[in-house]
Amino acid sequence: MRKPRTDSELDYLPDEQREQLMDWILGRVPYRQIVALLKDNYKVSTSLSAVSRYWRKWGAEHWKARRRNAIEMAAAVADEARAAPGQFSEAAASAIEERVFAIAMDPNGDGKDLKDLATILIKGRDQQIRQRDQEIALERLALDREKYREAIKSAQDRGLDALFVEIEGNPEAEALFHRLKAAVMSAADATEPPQEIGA
Amino acid sequence: MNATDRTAALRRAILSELSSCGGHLVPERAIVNAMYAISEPAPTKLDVRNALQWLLDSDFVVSVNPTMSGSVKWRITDNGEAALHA
Repeated sequence: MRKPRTDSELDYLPDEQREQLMDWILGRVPYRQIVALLKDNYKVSTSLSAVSRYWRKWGAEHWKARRRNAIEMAAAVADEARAAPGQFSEAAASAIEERVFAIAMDPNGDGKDLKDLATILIKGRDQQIRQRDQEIALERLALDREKYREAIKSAQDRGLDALFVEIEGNPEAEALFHRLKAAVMSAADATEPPQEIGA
Repeated sequence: MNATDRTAALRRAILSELSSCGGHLVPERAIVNAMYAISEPAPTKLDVRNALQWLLDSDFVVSVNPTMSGSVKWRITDNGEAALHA
């Protein structure tokens, strides 16, 4: 059986290894060194001519895919930046988009710059989350106050209803009751829950 | 293909590459890599630089030289788009 050409083996490299191979070629790593790197890192035996043929066969397609990915990645990161209101100005979001595009197009990029940008975006997102948490805490506090007021009012209503049952039929007592009730209700409306420590 | 045709083809390939980059500023190194991947035979860095300079002089591209990163970036102009699609 005829032995397959060594560049056929390069055709069947996993995606990650193909990406690395393309980065080496685009980064102008000498072919002789690439052959050694393939052997050392991926246990792939190949030749200078096989690497050259592989590049001629796939180089243009790879570059177009890289360009497409860079455009998409830059747009996605910029959208993320723009989705954080108040965090980044339009100029800053555009600058981030250009930077991501440049990094994604660079085969020698080590990812550190992208990591730095991601950190900036994550910090912005964290700040947004903290701000939202504070808003939720304030809303909850307002809700608790409302519940407290309603609970006080409900207890007063029950007490007044019980009292009215006892005096019902006595006009003088009923008149006195209605004055008392009006005073109690207006006092209840002004009632504030006890202040929480640290609130 | 003679030298004149190769030069013209390289200029056109650069315009086409910049046009395909969605209006982004493209680092010069990326343009060199693109030509290395797309053009046959691959042009040298100097060939690409000379072609970019000609395109700049012809108002088909603009260049930006960021003070911090130090890498020159290029973008196609409306004139360049018109020339590409003429």
